[in-house]
Amino acid sequence: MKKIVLLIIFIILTTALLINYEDIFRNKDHIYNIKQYYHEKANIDVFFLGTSRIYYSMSPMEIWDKYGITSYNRGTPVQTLPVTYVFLKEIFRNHSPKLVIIDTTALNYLKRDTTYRTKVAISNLDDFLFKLYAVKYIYGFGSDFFNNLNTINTYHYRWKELNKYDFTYETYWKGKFSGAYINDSKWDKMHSIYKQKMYQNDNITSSQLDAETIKYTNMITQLAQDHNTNLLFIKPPNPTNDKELAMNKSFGDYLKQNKINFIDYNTIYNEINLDFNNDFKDNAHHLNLYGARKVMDHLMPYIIEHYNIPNRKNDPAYASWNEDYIKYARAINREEIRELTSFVEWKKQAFYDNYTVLLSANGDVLRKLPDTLKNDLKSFGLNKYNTDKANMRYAAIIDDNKVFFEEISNKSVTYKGRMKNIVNLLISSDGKATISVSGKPRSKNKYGLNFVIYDKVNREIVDSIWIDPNKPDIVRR
Amino acid sequence: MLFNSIEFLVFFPIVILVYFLLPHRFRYIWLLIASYYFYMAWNPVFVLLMFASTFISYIGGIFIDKIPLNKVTSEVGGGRKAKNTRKYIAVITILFNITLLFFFKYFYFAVDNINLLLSALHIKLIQPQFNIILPLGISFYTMQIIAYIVDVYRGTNAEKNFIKYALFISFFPKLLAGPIERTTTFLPQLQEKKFFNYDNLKNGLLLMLYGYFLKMVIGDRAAILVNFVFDNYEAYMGLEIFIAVTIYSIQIYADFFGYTCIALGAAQTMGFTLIQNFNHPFFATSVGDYWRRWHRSLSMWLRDYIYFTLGGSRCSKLKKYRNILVTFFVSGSWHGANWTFIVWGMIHGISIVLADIFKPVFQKINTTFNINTQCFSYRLFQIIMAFLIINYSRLFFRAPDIETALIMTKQMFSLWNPWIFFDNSLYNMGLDRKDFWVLCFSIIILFVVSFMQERGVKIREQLSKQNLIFRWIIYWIAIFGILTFGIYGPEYDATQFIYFGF
Repeated sequence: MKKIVLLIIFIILTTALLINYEDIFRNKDHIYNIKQYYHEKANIDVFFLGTSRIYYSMSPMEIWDKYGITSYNRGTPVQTLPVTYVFLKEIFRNHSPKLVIIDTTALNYLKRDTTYRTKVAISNLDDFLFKLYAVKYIYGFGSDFFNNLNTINTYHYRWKELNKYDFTYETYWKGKFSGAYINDSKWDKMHSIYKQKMYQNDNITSSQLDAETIKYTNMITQLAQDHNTNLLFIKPPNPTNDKELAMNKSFGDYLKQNKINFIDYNTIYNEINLDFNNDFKDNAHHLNLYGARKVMDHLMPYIIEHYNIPNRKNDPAYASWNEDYIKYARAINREEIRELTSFVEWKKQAFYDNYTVLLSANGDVLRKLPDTLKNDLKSFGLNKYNTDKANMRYAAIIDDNKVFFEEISNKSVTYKGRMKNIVNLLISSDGKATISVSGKPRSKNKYGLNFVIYDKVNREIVDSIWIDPNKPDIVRR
Repeated sequence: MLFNSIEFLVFFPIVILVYFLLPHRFRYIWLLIASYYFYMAWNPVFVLLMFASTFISYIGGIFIDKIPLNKVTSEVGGGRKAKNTRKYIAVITILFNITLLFFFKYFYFAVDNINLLLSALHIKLIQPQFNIILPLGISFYTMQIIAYIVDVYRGTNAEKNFIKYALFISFFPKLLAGPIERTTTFLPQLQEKKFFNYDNLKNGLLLMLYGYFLKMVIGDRAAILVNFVFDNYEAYMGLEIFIAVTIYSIQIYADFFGYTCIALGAAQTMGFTLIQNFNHPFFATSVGDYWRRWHRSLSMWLRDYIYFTLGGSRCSKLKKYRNILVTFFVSGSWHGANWTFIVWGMIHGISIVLADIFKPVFQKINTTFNINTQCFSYRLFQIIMAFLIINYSRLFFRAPDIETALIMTKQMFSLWNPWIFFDNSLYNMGLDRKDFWVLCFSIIILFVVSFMQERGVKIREQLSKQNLIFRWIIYWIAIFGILTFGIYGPEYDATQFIYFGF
C-alpha cells in the first residue's frame, strides 16, 4: 500500500513538473513577456486588446509616466476576435478594468490563416482549466485537442533556443510594446523610420459587415457589460485603403447604434499631426515610438475625459510602477542609442543616467586622434589621451559620470576587477582592445576607439561600437 | 499504433488498469481485445488476415494434436498413415501461412526478378494491376505460427483455448516486431494467474523508459544523419560514409533494442516474460557470437527450424557450410524483399564459414607469435574486427539497391579524410552541432549501460537500493531528458520502428 501511495505522489509531482516544463518550453514568439502579466498583482484600469497595431501604438509605461493611468497591453500578433473574446474573459478573472480598448484591425483577418499565431496566443494562457476552456472554445473537441492543449509535443525542440526569457520576465513592459522582443530583430527597433505613403479619401462608402464580426462584437460587448466595464474600439493609423476605410466606417456605424465609442485614426491624421515620413517603423505599417506617442497623446486625454480614468501616480499600491518606468526609460534609451550612427548624437546618449562607459584603444590610434575626438574625450572628463608618441596603449572607464580608471602607457594597459553589478570586468589595450564583462568579450576590437556601454540598473550591454580616427563622426557596430 | 505515439500513452495505462481490475478469467479476453484494437489502429482490414492465419493454425494444431504421437510410433501400418496425416496437416498449415507471407512480402520482388529474366529472353513483362501493402507484423507472427505448428507436430500439446491461442499470436507488446515467442515459453504463461506486482510494474516501466530513450533520443536522431547521408551519398566520401554506416549500425540497434525494451517492459508490467532479444551485440567477438547476441529470438528460430532441420553441424563440413549459408540466405530474405538484404545475410554467412575454415590458420598464428588470446587487448581486437565486418554489412542493409551500396563502398575506400573530425564537416551530415553532440552523449550513455550490464551489473536492481529522492531524481532526469531530446512532434519527422517494415 505504501508503494502505491508513493507511486501516486510520484505521478502528482511529475505532473507538476510537466506543467512547469511546458511553461518553459512553450513557444513565446512575440509574446514572451506574458509571464509578467500573470505576476501582475495590482488591478489594471485600462486594457488594450488586438493585433500588432495596438501593441505598436500603446506603451503602458509611457502612459503611466505621462498620465498616471495603469494600463496593460494584451495585444498579440494577428489577434482574431475569438482570441480577443477569450483574452477578455481571462482578464475579468483577475482584474476589474474601467475600460477595455480594442483594435479593429482584426476585421481584416477574417479570411486570413491565423493558425500559428492563435496557437501561440492560446498555448500561453497560464491557468490550465481556463486553457482547457479556451482550446475547446477555439478549436473544438477534435482529434487535435490534446496537441493544442499540451504543447510539449510541438515545442520540445526549443531546447536549442531557450534563453532567459523562457525562465523569467521583465516587469517593465506591462505587456507588449515595440522593444519587448527576445531577439534583436527589425521588430525591436522602435526608433526606426520607414516612409509610408499616406492614403486619404473623403468619400468613404460603407461595406457589409461579416456575421462573425457582429457575433463577436456582441459577445464582447455583453461580456464587458456583465462586468461593468466600458468598451472603446479604435483603429490605429496605418497607410490604409478604401476597403479598410469602408469596413471601419460600417463597423463604426454599427458601434454607434450600440452606443459604443469608436475612433478611426485613419480619418484624423491631421488632428494627431501624424507624419507619414517619420512616424512608421517598418514595411508592415507599424508605428514607431514617435508615431505611437502621437496616438497616445490623443487617446489618453480622450479616455480621461470620457471614462473618468483615475491618475494613480501617487497611489502606494502602484509604487513599483515608478521603479518599472525607470527601467523602461533605460530600455527605451538603449533602443535609441543602438539606432544612432552619428557620434555627435551617440555621445549625448552615452552618459544617460549613470551608464558605465568602457573605452579601449585598438592599435596606434592615440596620436592620430583628430581634435574633435579629443574634445569629445575631454568632455567625458578624460585627460590622459593626449600624446605624440607612437604605439601608446590607452584604456578608460567612466562610471556614474566620473572617471573610474584611465591609463596610457607604451606597454599594455589593463584593468581587471569588479565594479557595482559588474563581475569579472576586464579592459585592456595591448595593440588589441579587449573589453570583457562577466567573462564575455564585448568590444568590437576594431582599429580605433572601442566603446562599450553597460547599464548597471538593467544589467545589460547597451551598445558596443568603435570609432575610426579617420572618420570620427561615424558610429560603427 | 506506435509505441512512441500519444495514442499508446493513453492506450497502455487503460489496458494495464482494466487488466488488473478484471477477474483472472476475463483478463486474457481483455488482452486479446486490446491487442486486436492495437493492431486495428494501424489498419482494421488486415486484422482479418491475422485472424485467418490464427484460426487456420489453431485448427491445424488441434488436428495434429488429435493424432497422438504414440500412435504414430507404436502401430506400424496405421502409424505410417497417422504420421502422414500429421505431416500433411502441418505442411498445409505452414504452406498457407508462408503463401500469405510470400504474397504480401515477396510478390513484387518475385515479379521484378521474373521480369528481369523475361526481358533477357525478350518476353513480354508481367505488370501487376494491384497494389500490395505489407501488413505490419506479418513476418513475426507467421514465424511464430510456423514454430507453433512444428512444435505441435514434434509433440508439444496444442492450445485448446482459441482465445488464449489468438492472444499467443497477437499479444500487443510483441505483435509488430517480436520477440518471436516460443510455444513452450509463452503459452504456459497464459495459463498462470498473474497477480499485481509493484516491482514488476516499476521495473517494466523503467525498461520501457530506457526503450523510449533508445528509440527517440538515439535511434531517431541517428536516423536524421543516416537518411541525409544515404539520400545524398554522392556528396560524401571516405570516413564520412564510414561514420554514416556506423551511426546506422547504432541507429538500427537503438531502434530495435528500444522497441524490444518497450515490448519487454510492457509485458513485464502485466507479469509476462518475453524472450530477451539482445545481449549487447556490439561486444561480440565474432560474427557467430554476434548472432547469439543480436535478435536472439530470430537466431533461435532459424537455428531450430532451418539450420537443425537441414542437419545442423552434425554432418560433413561441406554440408555444414551449406546449412549455414542457407540459414543466412533465409535470414537475409526474411528481413526484406531486396537483394541487398540477401547480400547482407550472405556476408554474415560467408564470414562464419571463412572463420571456421581459417580457424586452424589463426590458431597457428597465435601459437607461432605467442599471442595471448585471454587478455583484454585480444578480446578488444576481436570485437573491433567483428564490428567492422558487421558494420560493413549494414551498408547493404541500408542501401536502396546493390549498385548504391557498391558505389558507397568505392567512395568509402577511395579517400582517407580524417580532417572531417576537425573542420566541422561532421555538422554537414544532417545534424547540427547541438544535435550531433546530443547523439554522441546519448551513445556514450548506451555504451556505459551496455558495458555495465556486460559486466553483470543489474542496473535496475542497483537503482532500487538507492534512497527514494535519488531514485526519483534519476527518473525525472530520464523522463524530461527523453521529452526534451527525443525526436517527436511536428517539428521532427520521427521514423517508424525499422523492424516494423520486415
